[in-house]
Amino acid sequence: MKSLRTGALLLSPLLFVLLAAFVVPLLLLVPTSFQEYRPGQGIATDAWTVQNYVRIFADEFYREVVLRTIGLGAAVTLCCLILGYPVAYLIVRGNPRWRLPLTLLVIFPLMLNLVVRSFGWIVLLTNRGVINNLLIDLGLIERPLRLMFNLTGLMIGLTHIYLPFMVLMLVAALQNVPRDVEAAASTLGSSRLHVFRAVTLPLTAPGIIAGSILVFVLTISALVTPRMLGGPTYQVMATLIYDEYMQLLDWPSGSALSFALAISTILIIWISSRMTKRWAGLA
Amino acid sequence: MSNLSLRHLVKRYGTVSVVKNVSLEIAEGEFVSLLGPSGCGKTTILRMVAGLIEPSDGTITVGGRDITRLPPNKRNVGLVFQSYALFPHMTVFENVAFGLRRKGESGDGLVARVNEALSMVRLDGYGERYPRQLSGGQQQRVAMARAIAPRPSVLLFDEPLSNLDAKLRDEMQIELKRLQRELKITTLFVTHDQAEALSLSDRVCVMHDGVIQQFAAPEEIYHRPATSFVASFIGKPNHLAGTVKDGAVDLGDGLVLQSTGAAALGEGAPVDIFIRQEAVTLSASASDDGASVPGTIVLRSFSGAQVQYVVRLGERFEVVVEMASSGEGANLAQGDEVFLTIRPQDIIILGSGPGA
Repeated sequence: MKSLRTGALLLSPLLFVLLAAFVVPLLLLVPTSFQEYRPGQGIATDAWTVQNYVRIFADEFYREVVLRTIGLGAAVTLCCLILGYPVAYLIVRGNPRWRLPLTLLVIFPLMLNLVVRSFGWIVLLTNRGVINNLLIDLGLIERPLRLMFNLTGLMIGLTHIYLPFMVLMLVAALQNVPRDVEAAASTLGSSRLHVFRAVTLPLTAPGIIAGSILVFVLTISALVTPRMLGGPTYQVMATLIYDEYMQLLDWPSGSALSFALAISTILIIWISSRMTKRWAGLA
Repeated sequence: MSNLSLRHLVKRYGTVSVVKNVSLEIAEGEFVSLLGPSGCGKTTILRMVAGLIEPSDGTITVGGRDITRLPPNKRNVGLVFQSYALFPHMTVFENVAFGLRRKGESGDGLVARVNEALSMVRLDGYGERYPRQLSGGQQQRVAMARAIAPRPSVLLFDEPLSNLDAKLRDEMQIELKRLQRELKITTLFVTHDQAEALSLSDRVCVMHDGVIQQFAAPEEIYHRPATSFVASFIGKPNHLAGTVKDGAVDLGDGLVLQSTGAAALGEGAPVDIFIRQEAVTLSASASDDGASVPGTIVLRSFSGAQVQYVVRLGERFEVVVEMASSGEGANLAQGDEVFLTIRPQDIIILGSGPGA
């Protein structure tokens, strides 16, 4: 079949890059994750162990980081969805004159460097930062609120950074909803709220799924922002993996964590997209 | 009572009026078509009745109830879209049940009424399928079933058949007419297809440029058009121009056509005349009463049941004539000198100039 060969040919450059630079190094880490790290000696190559994996679930510290990461991913995704949907709706359904400025406004943060954006949040959120100073000056609070080095800080920073992705996905989805279908529902007796719930929302499900998966994956694998806004103590999986590799040189443990992260990501995406599809009647 | 009446309906976008002071009275159970070229305001009127567009001025009442400012969901109208607009994420059953559920129907009653609607459009047993699994014609039937299931007081069609191929369109036309006769729902049908409008409707409202040109029974629209626009829009009539002279129409070049309406327009008045292609008879010799005019055949084309001729009349005019291919006059050839006979009452005559 000619089309199959053409397809393979078109795919081959990307396929090669992915295989050589991503899949092979990843697979090389599989044996590493089953080896033992002996402090002061390095990686022991003589024995195999599943300790690295068991620890993720058995050790309280690791377990907390894993749950925190997944919880953070879900929360940021939800925040982006709730904040992003109205914006996307306004861009698609609002005055056409606002469409371009609004879209630019959404995209604009993406043009700034990630470190700069995260640092900007530090300036705003820190104990003696803009927000706390303002609130104290206004007499609303006496002590600075803890807005950093905790869940609040990460939520604010990550939601801000990944919101554009969600909005762009939702804009594309909303543009694909035919106005006539919504009009049909309203002539059949649906109030505006019911039209949204029964027609618009389910028809944008593909965009909701795509946007949510994107934001979720980006969030749980984010390194720079959690490091800057979470500090050295408030760890998520990505920062923990980084520390295991770069600070502790415990490659086996870092590898096991990496695989645990990847597998749980795939599982969560698979389950949630199945659930959403069923809800939207697309299955 | 669910007669539909539109009074002095106006829709302006900025300074542009797309619907200009339209008034229509549609009796209960009547099937009325809004016919006109694209951009004549017919779809705007339909959408104003459905509540999807807000009128700038005027009132819409159904059975005496003013619905002008009501939202679409409070109007009890059924709308069938050109694009079908089915809910792609719902089964056929759920699509048809949608409006019924909104009216509080549930349980066995709901199932019975959905099945009743589906069997009216001959889609029994299709309930579990999704719209994407159906053909265009079937989707159109689902759209119709969905619109009629809640028994609306007014049924609206927005060019529902224009996305179907010709054969299917003819079938659906018959289906639609049958359905409307059975249900006796007041119906407003928007189309740019004159054959569709003429064959389906009790009355046709021809529109042009946001204004009603003529609102009458299909036969009257066809045989006695009120304006030049209607005359030229309906059918493909030959358009000639002349002046009234001695109660007949003088076309110049010594060509005179007898016409029943000519005398009423006054001696010397400039007139437009329209002659239907099928109203002309061609013969090799002049008729005895002198009511025929001479011409030359410049083109002949055979199309099955009909033969079409292009006949030159004098210096200024060419007329298209359609003859049955089985009858006399089917075997004339290009270059033949012929005589055209037109019954005086078949000539549509309208005063030309301002106001016509």
